[in-house]
Amino acid sequence: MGAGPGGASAAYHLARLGRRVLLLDRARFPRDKSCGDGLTRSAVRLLGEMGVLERLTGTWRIGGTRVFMRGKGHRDFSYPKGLTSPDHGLVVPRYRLDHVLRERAREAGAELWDRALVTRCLRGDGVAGVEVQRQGEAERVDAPVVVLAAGAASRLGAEVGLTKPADSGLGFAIRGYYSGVAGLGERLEIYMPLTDPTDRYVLPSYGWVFPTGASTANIGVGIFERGHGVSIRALMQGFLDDLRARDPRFAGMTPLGRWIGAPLNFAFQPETCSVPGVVLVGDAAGLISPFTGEGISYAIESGRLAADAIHRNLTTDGVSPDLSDYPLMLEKRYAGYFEAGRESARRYRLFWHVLESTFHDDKPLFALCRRAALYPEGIGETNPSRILDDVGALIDRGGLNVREDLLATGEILLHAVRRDWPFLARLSTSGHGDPGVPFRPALLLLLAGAVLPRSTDRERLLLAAAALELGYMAALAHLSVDDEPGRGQAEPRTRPAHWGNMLAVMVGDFLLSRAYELSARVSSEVSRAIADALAIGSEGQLREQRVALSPELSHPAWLEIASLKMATLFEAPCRIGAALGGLTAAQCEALRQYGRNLGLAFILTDQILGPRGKASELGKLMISETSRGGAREEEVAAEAKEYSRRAHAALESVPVGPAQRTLRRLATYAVDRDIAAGVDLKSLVL
Amino acid sequence: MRSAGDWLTCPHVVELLLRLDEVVASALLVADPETHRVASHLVARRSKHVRPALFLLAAEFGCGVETELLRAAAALELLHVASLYHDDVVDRATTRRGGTSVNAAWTNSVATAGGVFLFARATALLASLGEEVNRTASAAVTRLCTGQLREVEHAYDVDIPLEEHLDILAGKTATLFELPCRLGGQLAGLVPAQSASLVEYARELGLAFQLADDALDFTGTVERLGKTTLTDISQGIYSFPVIHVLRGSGRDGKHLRDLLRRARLSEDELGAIAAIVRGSDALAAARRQASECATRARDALRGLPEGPALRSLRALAAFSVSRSH
Repeated sequence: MGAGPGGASAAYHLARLGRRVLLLDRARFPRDKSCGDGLTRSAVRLLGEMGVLERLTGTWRIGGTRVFMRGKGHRDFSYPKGLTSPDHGLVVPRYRLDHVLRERAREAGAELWDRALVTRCLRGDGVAGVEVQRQGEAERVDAPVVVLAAGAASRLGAEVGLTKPADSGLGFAIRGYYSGVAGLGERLEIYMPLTDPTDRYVLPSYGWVFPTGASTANIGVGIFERGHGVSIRALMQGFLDDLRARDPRFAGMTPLGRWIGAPLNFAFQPETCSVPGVVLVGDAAGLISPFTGEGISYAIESGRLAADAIHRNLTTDGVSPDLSDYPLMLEKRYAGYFEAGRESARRYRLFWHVLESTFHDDKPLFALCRRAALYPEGIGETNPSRILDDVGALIDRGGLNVREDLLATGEILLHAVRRDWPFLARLSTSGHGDPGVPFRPALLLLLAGAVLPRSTDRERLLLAAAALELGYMAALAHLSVDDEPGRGQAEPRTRPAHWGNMLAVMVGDFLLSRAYELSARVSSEVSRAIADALAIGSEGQLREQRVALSPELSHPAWLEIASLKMATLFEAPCRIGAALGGLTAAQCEALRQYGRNLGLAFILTDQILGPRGKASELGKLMISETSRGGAREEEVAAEAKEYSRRAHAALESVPVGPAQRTLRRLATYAVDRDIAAGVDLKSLVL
Repeated sequence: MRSAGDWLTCPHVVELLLRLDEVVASALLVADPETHRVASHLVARRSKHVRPALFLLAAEFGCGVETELLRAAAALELLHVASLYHDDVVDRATTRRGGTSVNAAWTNSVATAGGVFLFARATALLASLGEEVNRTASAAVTRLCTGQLREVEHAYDVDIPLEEHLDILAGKTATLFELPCRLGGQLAGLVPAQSASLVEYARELGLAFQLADDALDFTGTVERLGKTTLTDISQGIYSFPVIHVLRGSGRDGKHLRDLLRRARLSEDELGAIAAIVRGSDALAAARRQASECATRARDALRGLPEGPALRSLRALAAFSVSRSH
């Protein structure tokens, strides 16, 4: 029930799977809807899958988003042209979009009843259908599954015990259409946060201007919490007045029609998205970005996921099917995109503060936060060197399960941070696409642990790998701490918080504690090894801090500091993996040597590639571009080769096999950065 | 005026503590002299050593190996100092233990890396004390860090319930009191019931210290109010007395709420906030709550054998709420 994008998507996909579908909506169609009308690139892709893009011709194309942060200017997030398909978003008024989607569902075989008000759910063992008011009469519709897609305001979910009490997760948005707006480009514009009319209180809110044509736009505001004593209409009026007064593009705008508002539900909790016989999709499930208000792509996608789950679980015995794999699918799909649980509203507020105060800060943690909040679909893709870090092609095919193990490591990692800070898991993943086999500490640990086949307790190896990754992520967070230059001794106590530092330190510490906890589950020996590596790494950082200002840093001194900083990345994983993998003490030592030399070869090569903008992600994050100490490029290259040779040499005392062969290739890769290495990427099956 | 050390009368623990500095120092050995200076910045100063003392007192009820006990005590002190390094970055504190803080003497990034260094050395020590100690310590560290994150999440939250605040304090503050007692029990082989009593004692003790501090922070003239108190308020971190006023009925709560929600507080507004808190019953409530915790802490000690260790623990509980500065 509910024939918006979520309901229509579920209906379409179910009908395509050969199921009998009835699509119910209380509205008389076509109808208008309060929404920003912005379709992200993900939404466009999903619409493409439903085969409706050709019906949306003439709608306004979008190349990205421009976010204006109050008092801080703006930032652009652009879809890279031609890199993905589709490479653009759209703005399509809901009046039109919903019509197209509904028609598509009908063509696929779904039956549509409009002006049909669902009054209650029918109960069997689970939910077994609905009662509908239609043309003045109550009608009973028996169905093994009900898809609730009636938006944020729907009470039916609560009736079957699905929605949580409407507390913190409910906001409100309002929009109007305007003409006479000049010079809008191909960008969605978002303004955040807004203030109350007295300009004294900053509200958890945002305004948007989404172009629907060359001189027309959908303009609106949303607020994420109620109870701020400001009416949404006053907020909207303030936003419009501001636009008119401050931006000449809006000086001559005139309204087209009246404003429409609707509640925003962003209290997504996967576990409350299904009971036997019922699933929630879209807004009804709280799938709205708490930062940009985006919800259409999540509605369409959750509709499709619901259809898959229903199709899989439907039986012929008339019993309400158990649909508990749907929440699992949602959880997996949106891990880190939506915070779950009662903590979410507060966490959003913190996140907002961080976004605002670190808006122009490009340190890794803040860049990640910004992307996670404002441009979630783009994570990982705009980084042109990402492919360099995918070393999948170097993995020996002789029975290594590295790809699988890395995914399992990622799961452990996600699990370790999910309850408290799910988005952090995204520090380690590169978006939804295939992450490949990133060149990371976990990879080395897993390889070192797989030198002797089947001699290792896999679970322990994975835990250790996850612990090490968390340690690495902690380092990235801690590296984001800012020194606040120009800060005097006499601090005014009215000074507001430095949110960036607060978050960097706290998140770094939190990740570190989780790393410690996971390592302790493996053994005190692993805790010890990680602790040693951390101490060395921080020593490297302290030494780097000291010499950062001295231009005459010699090349050997630079290299020593860099190698200390990289201890957790190369040496420690090899050493820990070897020990867990049951190698002899001499072999462990050989692998430790291998890791050390590999690291040196790697950072030296990065030092050469750095000025050409081709350094690895790892290197860019960990090694600051201090002096090259006057060393010439050829010398550095020769040095890198020598360390690579030593890494190869260290492997000679290590048992031969797929892991050892892969480690060899990585030692070569460290200097030549050639992932193809004669292997066809496409044909590779790991 | 009583001095901080008065409560500790147990001779064996006093004697062991005299050897603590040496163990701490050897845990901080490192080739790079500058790293060593950063790492030793605070441990070189006079410290009350409350956490190591608590640990050693707990161990007095059983029998442990002295070298192991000292290593664990050193690790506890290092964990505590590591957390101070990072706290001072977050709070922008410029002084600590009667001198400059690490972030003020060097920079924020130095203090951050220095804190990680201390943490690493502390966990290396803990890992050398066996699987059980290692796991216990790691769980406590996680609780501590999660508590800190939760506190930051509540920044500017004028709706935070008092119970939630106390729960956060239990994670953030009391954990580093509980852990010494837990480890003391493990390394000295106490029976589970005794360990549990000591852990309960420590949790209440930690809360008593914190709540008494929170009340103390508001005493004195407004101009001389604990600088961090008002800094915390402008950074949206509210202590028990502030939350107590917010949760109360009546005009004070509403007025305070209105002030706290402003985008940026002026000196005058901060002064007004302090005046509201001081003029209310919040400080008395915080002291009352602290006393209740201290009493519960003492009560938890029933059933432990009488002796110098027990007397020190009782005195510590009394001390926690009798301080005037």
